[in-house]
Amino acid sequence: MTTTDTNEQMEHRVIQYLYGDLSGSELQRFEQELADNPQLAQMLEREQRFNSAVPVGVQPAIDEERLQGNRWLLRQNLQREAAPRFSVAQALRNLTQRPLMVALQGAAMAMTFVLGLFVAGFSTQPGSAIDSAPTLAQGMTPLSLLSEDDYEIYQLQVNSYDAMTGDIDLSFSLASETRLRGNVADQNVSQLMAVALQDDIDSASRLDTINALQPVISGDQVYEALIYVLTNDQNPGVRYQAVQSLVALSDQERVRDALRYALREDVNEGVRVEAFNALSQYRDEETLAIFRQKVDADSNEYIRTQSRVIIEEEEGSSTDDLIF
Amino acid sequence: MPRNSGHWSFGDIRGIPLLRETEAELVKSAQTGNIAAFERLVRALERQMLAVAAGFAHTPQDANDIYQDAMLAAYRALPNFKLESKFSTWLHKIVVNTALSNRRKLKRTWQKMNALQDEYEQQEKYVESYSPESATLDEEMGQEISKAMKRLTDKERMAFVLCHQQGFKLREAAEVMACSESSIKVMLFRARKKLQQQLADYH
Repeated sequence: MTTTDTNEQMEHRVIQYLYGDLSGSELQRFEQELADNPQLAQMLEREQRFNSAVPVGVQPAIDEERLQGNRWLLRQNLQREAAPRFSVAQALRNLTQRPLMVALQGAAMAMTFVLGLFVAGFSTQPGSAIDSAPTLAQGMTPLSLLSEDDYEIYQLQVNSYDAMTGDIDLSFSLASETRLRGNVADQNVSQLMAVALQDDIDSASRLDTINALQPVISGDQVYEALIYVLTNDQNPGVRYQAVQSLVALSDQERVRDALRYALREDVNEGVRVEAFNALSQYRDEETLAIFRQKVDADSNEYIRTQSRVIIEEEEGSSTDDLIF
Repeated sequence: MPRNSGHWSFGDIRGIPLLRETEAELVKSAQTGNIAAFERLVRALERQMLAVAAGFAHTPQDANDIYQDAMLAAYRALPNFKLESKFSTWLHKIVVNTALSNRRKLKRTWQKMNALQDEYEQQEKYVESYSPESATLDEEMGQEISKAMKRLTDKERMAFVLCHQQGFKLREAAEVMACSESSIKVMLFRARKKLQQQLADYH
C-alpha cells in the first residue's frame, strides 16, 4: 500500500465518520485507530474545526416570502405549460386521419363564428372600443368591448364523445385581444380594470392596473378589488401596491378590516408596516389587540417598537382618565 | 433531511384539515396532468429544493430561476417517473441537473462579469438548519461561504451541497449524482479542503 493510498483511505474514513456513514463495528475500529494513528487524529481534528465553523446543515436561508413568490410563479408557469398549444400542421394531420373530427371541428368553428357575431351584436357603438374613447353604457360587460375580428379558441376540450352516435360535448374558451382607449375616471373603464384585478392577469399588469386606479380608488368596485388583492394576491409586490393605495381610505371600517388582516397575516414586512402606519391613526380596541400581540411577536423591529409606544400611550391615557 | 416516509401530512390550512395522501397517489394523479397534485408533491419539498438551487446559483434570483426551470422540467418528465425511486431523490436529480446546465450556459457571461459581480451582487443569507432556533449565520460569514463555494468545481459543489448542506447520506448523494460512493467521498474531501483554505480566518 502506498502512502497516497493510505492518505486517501484515511480521508475516506474521516468523511464517513463526519457524515455518520460508519457502521457500529467500523466506528469502533476507527476510534481505536484514532488512538494509534496521530496522523489520522490530526486530520480529523482539522476537519472537525471546519465543521465547528461551518456546521453540517448550514445552508442558504429560504424565507416564507420567497417561498410564496416561487409558489405563485410556479403555478403561473404550470398553467401556461398545461394549456394546450395549437399547431396548424398537427391539426391538419389529425384532420386527414379522422374524418369525423373534420365535421366536428368545422361545427365548432361555425359555432365560434356565430357566437362572435352574437357577442359583437351587443355593442351599442360598433367598433368604437378599438380606437376611440368609448363611453360604456351602465351594466355593460367586458364582452361588449370585443370586436367580431380576431377571435381565438383556446383550451378546447372534448369532455365526452360517443363514437356510435357521434354525440359530443365540447368546452372551450374564446380569447380576443381588444384595445380600449378611455379615461380611468370613466366608471366603466375603472370597473373593467377592477374586475380584471381579480382575474388571471400577470403580476406586472396587476401592478400597472393598481397604479392607474389610485386616483379613482373611492369607487366601490375599485376599493373592493384592492381589498381582494391585499388579502389574496400571492405576489408581495402587488399586495404592497394595494396596501399603499388603500391607506388613503383607512377611515372606512371595511378597509381597516383588510389592513388588520394584512398586519396580522401578511408575511411581507413592507405590507405590514404600511398597514400598521395606517392603523396607528385609528386606535379602536380591535386594532389595539393586534398591536399588543405585535409588541413581542412581529419580526419587524419598527412594528414591535411602535406597537409598544402606542400601547404604553394608550395605557397611560386610560390611567390618566382614572386619576382625573 | 431528505426523508419521507411515503405519507404526507400537510396539516391544516385556515382550520380546514387536509387529507393525507400517499406519495404514490399524488404522483399518479400528477402524471395525468393534475397541477394541484403536482403542487402538493412539490410543496413538501420546496424549501429544500430552493436551498439546493441556491447552493449552486450565483445570486438568489438565479436560484429562483433554477428552481422554476427544474420544477417545469419535472412536471414535463413526470409521466416517465416509475416510482422505483423516491420522488424526492428524483426531484433532487432534476434540480441538480438543471442547476448544472444553467451554470454551464451562464459560465462565460459570469466569467466576464465576475470581478464586478463579486462586489455588487446579492448574496444568499445562510442559516443553521439543524440548530433548534434555525439561527441565521453572521452575514459576513455567509458572504464568505458564498464566495468560497464559487471556487469549487461543479462536482465538488454538488457533493458539498447535498452532503454538508442538505444532510444526504453518501449513498443518497451518489444516487443523485449518478456516481460511486467513493467518488462522493473524494469530491467532498476536496470541497472541504478548498473551503478550509478560503475560510481559514474562521476556523
